[in-house]
Amino acid sequence: MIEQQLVGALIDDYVARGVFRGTALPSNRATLESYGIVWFRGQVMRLDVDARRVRVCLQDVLPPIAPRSRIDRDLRNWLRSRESPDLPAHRSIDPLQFKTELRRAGGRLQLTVTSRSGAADEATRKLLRLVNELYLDFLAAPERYDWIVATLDLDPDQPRWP
Amino acid sequence: MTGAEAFANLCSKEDLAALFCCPGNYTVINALAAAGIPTYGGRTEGAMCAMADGFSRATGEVVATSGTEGPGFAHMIMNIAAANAARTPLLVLASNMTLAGDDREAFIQQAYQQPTTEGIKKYGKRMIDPARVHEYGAYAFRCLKSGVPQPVHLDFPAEVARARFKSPTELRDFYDKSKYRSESRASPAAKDVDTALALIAKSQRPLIVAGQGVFQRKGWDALRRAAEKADIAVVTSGPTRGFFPDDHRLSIATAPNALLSADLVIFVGQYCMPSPGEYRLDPQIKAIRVHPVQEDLGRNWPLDLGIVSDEALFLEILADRLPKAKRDAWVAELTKARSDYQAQIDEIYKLGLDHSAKTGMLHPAVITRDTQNFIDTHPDGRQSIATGLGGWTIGLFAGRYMRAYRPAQEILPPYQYGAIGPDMAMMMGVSCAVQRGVGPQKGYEGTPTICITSDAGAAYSLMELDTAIKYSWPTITIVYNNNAWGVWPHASRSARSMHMYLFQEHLRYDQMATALGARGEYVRTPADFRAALARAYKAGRDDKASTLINCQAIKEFTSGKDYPPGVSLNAEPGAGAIAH
Ligand SMILES: Cc1ncc(C[n+]2csc(CCOP(=O)(O)OP(=O)(O)O)c2C)c(N)n1
Ligand SMILES: [Mg+2]
Repeated sequence: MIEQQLVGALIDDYVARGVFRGTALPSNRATLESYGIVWFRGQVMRLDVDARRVRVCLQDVLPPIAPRSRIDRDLRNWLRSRESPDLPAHRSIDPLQFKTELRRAGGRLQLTVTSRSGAADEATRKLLRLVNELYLDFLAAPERYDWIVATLDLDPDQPRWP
Repeated sequence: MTGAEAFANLCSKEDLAALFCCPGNYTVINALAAAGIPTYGGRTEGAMCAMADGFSRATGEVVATSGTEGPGFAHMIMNIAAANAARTPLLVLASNMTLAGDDREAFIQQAYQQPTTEGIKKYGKRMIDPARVHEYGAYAFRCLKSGVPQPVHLDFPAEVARARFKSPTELRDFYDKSKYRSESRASPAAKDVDTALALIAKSQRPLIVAGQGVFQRKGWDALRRAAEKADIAVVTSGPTRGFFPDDHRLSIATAPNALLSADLVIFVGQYCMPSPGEYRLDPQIKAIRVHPVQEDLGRNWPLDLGIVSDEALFLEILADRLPKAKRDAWVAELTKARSDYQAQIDEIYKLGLDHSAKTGMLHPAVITRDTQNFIDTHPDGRQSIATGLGGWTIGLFAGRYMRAYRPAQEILPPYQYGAIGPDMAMMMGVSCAVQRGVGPQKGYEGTPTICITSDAGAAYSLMELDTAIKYSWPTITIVYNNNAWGVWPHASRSARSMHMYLFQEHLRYDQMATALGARGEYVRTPADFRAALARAYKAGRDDKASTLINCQAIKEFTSGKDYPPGVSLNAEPGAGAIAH
């Protein structure tokens, strides 16, 4: 429970910083907390915090992308690059401490971070930082420009978030 | 003395730096010229307004623009709005027929001016009572020289401009600027400074975003002193670049990868506030904002600490009070991120050379990188040439390669408002400031300026080459000629739309320039481009000639499909930022 309170406070902090809009969702499992989050480009996401497995999962992190498409491959490579020891410690995800997975459930994309050391709030922090970089770094790269304009249905006169 | 003369005398005492206009509002512009204000007349009111804005962006000075009542004034609107978005201290003057003719469509050119500038000015007034002409002049300069500047719009009915006064007693509030406005500036509260120092002490990777307020308040020395004392990374924002040099070891302007590592951001004089997510920063970053006006603190970006203060005063206090600190890991990260970015754009340059070789046309990465290379290796020193960049594909590529090393070396015509078109005219205003050696342009007199623009952009101000030549302002204009509005990919799936985005192919902007008395160059290869640029510089330097270099390209360079990487937005804040 303590873990979950920490996560709740963390979400509140993000909301207070204007990063996203978010609110706790009703949950019927004692060890699972959920939050609704409206983030980049109005994308509605759901954050599930599983205290027992120390796993945080963000649903609908991106609109559906075709398996084995170029963007799918690039995204997986980019996620792996986040584990590189060449990145400064405050930016990298240490694979000995966290497990990062990109999964597809019914066509929807979910990004999961599991803590191997047992800290759900730290896993949440890592996950949310990862999503921030997914939008501001991965999707903002020149190679992705045409893709984001088409897929995120950006207004041609305002091809940028928020 | 006439109303116009009373107003002109006040402008003279306020050291109004320049007036850029087209004829119209005759009584006022003649009075300003007679009072010794440097005046310049050109071909269109819109472009002259942009010239005034460019002059101010390059100097920080208050400038004026003027046009005739209805049509001349209406033509300025796009560029008044651009000046407003960039917070330029621009004095917009226009005549406004006679009060006696109001609401009667008397003769021609009747217009309600003030509602037309609604939302794009700080203050505006149609003068009615001739006795108050000095009072409203004072009102204008109080707004232009205090707090956050923006355009001020005064319109002069003939009854005011042509009123005759026999003695000063006939004028209301006829007293000097030392009485009608104050040079006093807000100092930060001691407790706020303590809190800021504590936040900086806790931060491992602090970042200052120095906005145009720092430029306008000439706070660049204090900025550098503060940054260097405690290893704080710096990026500037706003329509003017270079007041923190891109080649400084603490510059993060060309290190977008490091931006996401900063854990504390200090916005100083950031007039156009982004929202979280618009800047490439960590979501948990702490934020301090220093701004001269309390009402704006907390707008768009939630703050951990808001400080009301003059920008330069805050930076001076910060530089004095900050304890010396070394942040070696942060500095090393900045160095690495800068070299990673350089490697990335070097790679794009190579692609551009390949695309150029294959097509026999000039790729935007080649034009912009080679222009900067010309500046970087120039015997006059890389600080000498002032530049400006606009246009869509070409402007965004230029943002990656162009650098600024001294205050106001680079101007961003599209900043915040995103207008296509004012670039050439704005850079003529910059050239005027450089030739006169005004403010930070002092010491660079005689140096030609370089404007990188597009075929769409050139259409708006090409005629002003006549003006540049008339006044001997040596300008070099590089036109990226891709036969199109660069947003044509939005029509690529609809054959019925495409024609709206296209021009005739291979138009000869260089020949149009020649016809206007400038030099024209037509180039299609990197080697020819470099040679043309060198010739243009020499002709500008030696003969005060202006040159237009027509760089023939193809529209397909905009799309990454056939010619990767294609156009994309640059990271903000940073060297290629245009929004905030
Ligand atoms: C005055 C103006 N008209 C239209 C637009 C919308 N717009 C934004 S970019 C763009 C294309 C500009 O084409 P160009 O400047 O030639 O750039 P390039 O061809 O190099 O991409 C347009 C039409 C604008 N920003 N300003
Ligand atoms: Mg074009």
